[in-house]
Amino acid sequence: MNLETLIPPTNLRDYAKNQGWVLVKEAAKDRLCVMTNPRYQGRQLVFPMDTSAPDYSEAVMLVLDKLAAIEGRITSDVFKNVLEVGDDAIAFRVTTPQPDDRSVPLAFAGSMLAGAQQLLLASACTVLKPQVHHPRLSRTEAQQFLETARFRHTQPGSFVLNVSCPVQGLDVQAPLLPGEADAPFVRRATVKLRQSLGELVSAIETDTLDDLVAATKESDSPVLSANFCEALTRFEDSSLKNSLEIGVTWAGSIPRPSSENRTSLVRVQHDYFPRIEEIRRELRSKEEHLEDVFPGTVERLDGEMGPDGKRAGEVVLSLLTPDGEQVRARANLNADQYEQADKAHMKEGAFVKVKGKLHPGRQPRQLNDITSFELLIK
Amino acid sequence: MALMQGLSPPNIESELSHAYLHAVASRAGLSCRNGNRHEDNNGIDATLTAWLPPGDASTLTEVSINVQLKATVDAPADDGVSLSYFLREPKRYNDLRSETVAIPRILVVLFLPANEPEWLHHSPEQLILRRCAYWESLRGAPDIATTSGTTIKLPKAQVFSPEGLKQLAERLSRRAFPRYGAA
Repeated sequence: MNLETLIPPTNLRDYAKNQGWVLVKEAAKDRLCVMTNPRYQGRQLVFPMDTSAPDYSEAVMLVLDKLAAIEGRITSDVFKNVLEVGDDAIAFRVTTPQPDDRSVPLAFAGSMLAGAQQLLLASACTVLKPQVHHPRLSRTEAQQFLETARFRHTQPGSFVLNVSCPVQGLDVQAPLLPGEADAPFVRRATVKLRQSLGELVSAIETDTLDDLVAATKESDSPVLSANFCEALTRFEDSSLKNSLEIGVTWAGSIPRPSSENRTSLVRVQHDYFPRIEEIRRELRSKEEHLEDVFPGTVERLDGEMGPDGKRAGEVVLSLLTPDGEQVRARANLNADQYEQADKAHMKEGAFVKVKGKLHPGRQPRQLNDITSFELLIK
Repeated sequence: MALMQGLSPPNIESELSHAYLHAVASRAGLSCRNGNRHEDNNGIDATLTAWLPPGDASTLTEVSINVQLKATVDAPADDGVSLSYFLREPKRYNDLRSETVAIPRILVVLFLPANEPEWLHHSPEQLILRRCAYWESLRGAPDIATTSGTTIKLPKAQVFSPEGLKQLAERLSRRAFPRYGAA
């Protein structure tokens, strides 16, 4: 393992500082970082300042082992935290009632990934322009924020999606020790994510959802958005009846939010998801049936062979609404329409144009009253 | 009763040297951790850690020492001041003589009796591991252009004993690194 490139001395130092270790300045003349901790009398961490030191890797491994022993954790966990010292790390952990479950449907895993991205985008958009619904999540800064986020190794034993957000990934001009108001954009987005989640779960648990919705709609700077709620619902698989835990570990390289512990954990129990969907709909109360012509792509074919020997039935489409939102929708096609859908599904770059009525609700939504279904080939 | 011989004599020598290291370090109040595979590839067989009372601000209170450990039944040449040991691996020699390592390194050589039954004696009253080990720092040793190894002089004054180990740790806490040939 090339620790020289993975763990610079400043990262290790910043992690240790975050745990209460203090640098002994006098050791700098020997090109050593020597750190002590008033909580652990007599213990010291010693590692080179220079990655070019011939035993840099060994010295760092020794420090990681020491920290693990002192903190009562395994070295690999400490290693992970040191790697992420400059990141706000968000862990999405899915738990199911079946203790022996060793897998989840692949489609659900994909949905979780998409949900995680949407949560980040929604939170970033709320930082940029708080509103109850963001018609588009494509603001440049939000997209850039998403591009800096990293998907880390998952953890054994449960289904955990780890996402790292480098706090200095965008705001290189930020002050060295910012106050909360002046925090880097990435930090503000992860704080917003945590706030939105906290308010939502708290409202569910204290049965004050109506108050939350009213306050959100009336607020000039709503913390919560329909997009955020929708993103959360993507972490539910109705067949698994799963719950979700979202843990945020704040980057150690800048002060954490004053109201937060080093790691915060919020649990979204399975029975909360329908309520979250209700809130989503409430926040999008303007959402009505939308009758229009929608361009889109064919994502899935679920039709059946009819008595006439032709396949027809359900398909899943990805449609573009007039306000630029991408929406997944189920549609029931007759045989001729299904044939067009099949061609579109098989051909790269092929789009469809469908006229129908798009119903509100969770995705995939329902597209009914289809009056035309046309194949558009590039 | 003849038992299946699981370890070869060289392996037994090696295990006894580790046992010696652990025993002496423990008696001196140091912890002893065997090197992992990565460390072993870099010539570190074990890491000792000592804890010392605080001194001035630049004094280390927690000192680690990386050990390259050897064992031999060959009778060393004795010039009255030092014992000779032939270190076969040039890479190990160069690892040990580096002056810029953050964690000090020493070579420890256990000289076992040539007669195998004399290596270890056990009775209900005592456990005796015969002969002893010596240590040397190769820090600052000359660069030697060789592919076959080099002879190291281990000072007879530098017995790897509990007391000697404590004194070494105290020196290292002041960043006073022993250099090759300075003893």
